[in-house]
Amino acid sequence: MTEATLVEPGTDAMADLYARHVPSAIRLAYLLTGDPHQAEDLAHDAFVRCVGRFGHLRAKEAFDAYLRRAVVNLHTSGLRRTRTERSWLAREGAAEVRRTTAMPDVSAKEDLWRALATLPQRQRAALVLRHYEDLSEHDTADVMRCSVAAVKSLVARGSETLRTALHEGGIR
Amino acid sequence: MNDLDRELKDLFETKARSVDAGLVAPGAVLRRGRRRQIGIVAGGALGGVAALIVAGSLALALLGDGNDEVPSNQTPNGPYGDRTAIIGGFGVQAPEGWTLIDQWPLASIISVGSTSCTGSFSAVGDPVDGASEPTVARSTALGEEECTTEPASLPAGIPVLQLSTYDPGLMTPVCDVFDQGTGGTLPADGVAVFVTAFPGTKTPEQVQQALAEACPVAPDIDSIVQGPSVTYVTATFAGSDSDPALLGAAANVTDLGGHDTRELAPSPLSGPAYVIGSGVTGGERWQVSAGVDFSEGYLSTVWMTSFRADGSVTGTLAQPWSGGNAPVASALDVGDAAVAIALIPTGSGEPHWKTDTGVDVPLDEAPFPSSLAALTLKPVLDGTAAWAEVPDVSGAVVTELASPTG
Repeated sequence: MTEATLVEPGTDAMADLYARHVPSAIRLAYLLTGDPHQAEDLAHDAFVRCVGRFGHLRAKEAFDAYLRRAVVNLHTSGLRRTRTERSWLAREGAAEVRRTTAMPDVSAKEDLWRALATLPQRQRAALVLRHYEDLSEHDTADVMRCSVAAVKSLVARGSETLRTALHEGGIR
Repeated sequence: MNDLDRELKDLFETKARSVDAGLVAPGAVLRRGRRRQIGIVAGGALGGVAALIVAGSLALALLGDGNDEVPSNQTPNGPYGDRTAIIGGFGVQAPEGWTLIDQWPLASIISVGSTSCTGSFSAVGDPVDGASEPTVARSTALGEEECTTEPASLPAGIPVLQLSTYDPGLMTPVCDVFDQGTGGTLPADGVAVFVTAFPGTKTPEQVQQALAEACPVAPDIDSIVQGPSVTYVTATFAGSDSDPALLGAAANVTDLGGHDTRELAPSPLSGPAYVIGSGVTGGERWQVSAGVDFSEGYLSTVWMTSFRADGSVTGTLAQPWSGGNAPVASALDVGDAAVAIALIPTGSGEPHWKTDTGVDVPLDEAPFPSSLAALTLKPVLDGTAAWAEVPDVSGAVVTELASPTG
């Protein structure tokens, strides 16, 4: 496909974009939210936004980067709609059973996972982008639309909170 | 990297792998994406607008031949000449170089509301764009299913047409009609005349406030006409560096005065379009428009529409372009003759309408709008739209190389 034809996609092309980019967006969203259903909703909302503006993207080949940014910003901005039914499912516990698999080292990882859930959204997002997406501080700042100094601060404070929580929990 | 960093990385990778993220896009997501692309405010029943809308009939006095008092754009950015058009029942004179867009087809795709139904869960409506809280109008229980209907936000009404000194794009009128939170856009040196229809009764103060919030600058309300269920508004917007002469010209090109109100048929076009040419044949007025056909897979399309003296539509012809290097053409009976329209790919040569009986009519040409590329994955015609009055509908377009000049 040439750049000249990389304009807003039709349904088939949209489905192809989805297959190529949304699964990784769902995984990123899951790390940000800790809830697989919220993650799916978040990734879908971000995808709809990005695909709707596809014709206006300056670098269409970097759709994954636009999608990543949309996921993070939708999550941290708090503008996403609340889905009551999703909360109901989460409360019932069906989500984890259906969407995740058992892990052998549940105890240690789950302690860290629970501690991560206590972090403010932006601290958690900064840690995920740095350690999961392997983004540089500069690129993380770009995605989060903040300064590099702010990213350093978010990562440092998040890490410190995690250490404290784990230490107080007797893990470290 | 310290221990915590390594453990975080390991945790993230493990957790990410545990998520079952399918590769198949849910149909609902694709539909939302498509709606987003074409700017639908919210999902829901389509076509409801048509029942709400009544429009003014044409004040044909507006469509006189002379527009000498209307100065042309000082910095023309469009390739199109003077046009006299009828859009949504309103007559418009577009000076050379101004961009005239028929936005009335958007009325058939802008939803007036969305309905969310759930099973045993409580219903939560879709907020517009996910960027604002939903306004819940009513809820109805259907057995175990609960449905909630929300009114769509129409901050700038339903657009009918826009005449401007710049090209705003087919889907982006000067005002934020799709409630995207953008407030609309207007170049500093731009002038735009915007005709819109607000459902219900609106006072001048309500119109002024609504447009002030949904548009980039305060509107100059030129005309407000109250129909039985719709309020029609003509507003002019001037950029901070715009030429006052252009503002005066804009105020004269559209006038809602002198018409009555009645039910109006849906737009004869199947997508918003640039009006690029017009003429009169055998007492019937006709106009040529170029845009994308929503109903035909977003194909580049040129339309020809003819009108009676009272402004009612007598015929519509759509000529889509599916790609390739060959011209495509067709013709429609108008009055005592016909009008041919064609799409001519670049490099085809000068288009002529020819018949076996010796008819040879050169066609007027205008560049096909390149900005349509932003709307579709389909190839957009790189070439021209062409038209001409011809003796009858028989014949075909033959292209010829341009004659050498000197």
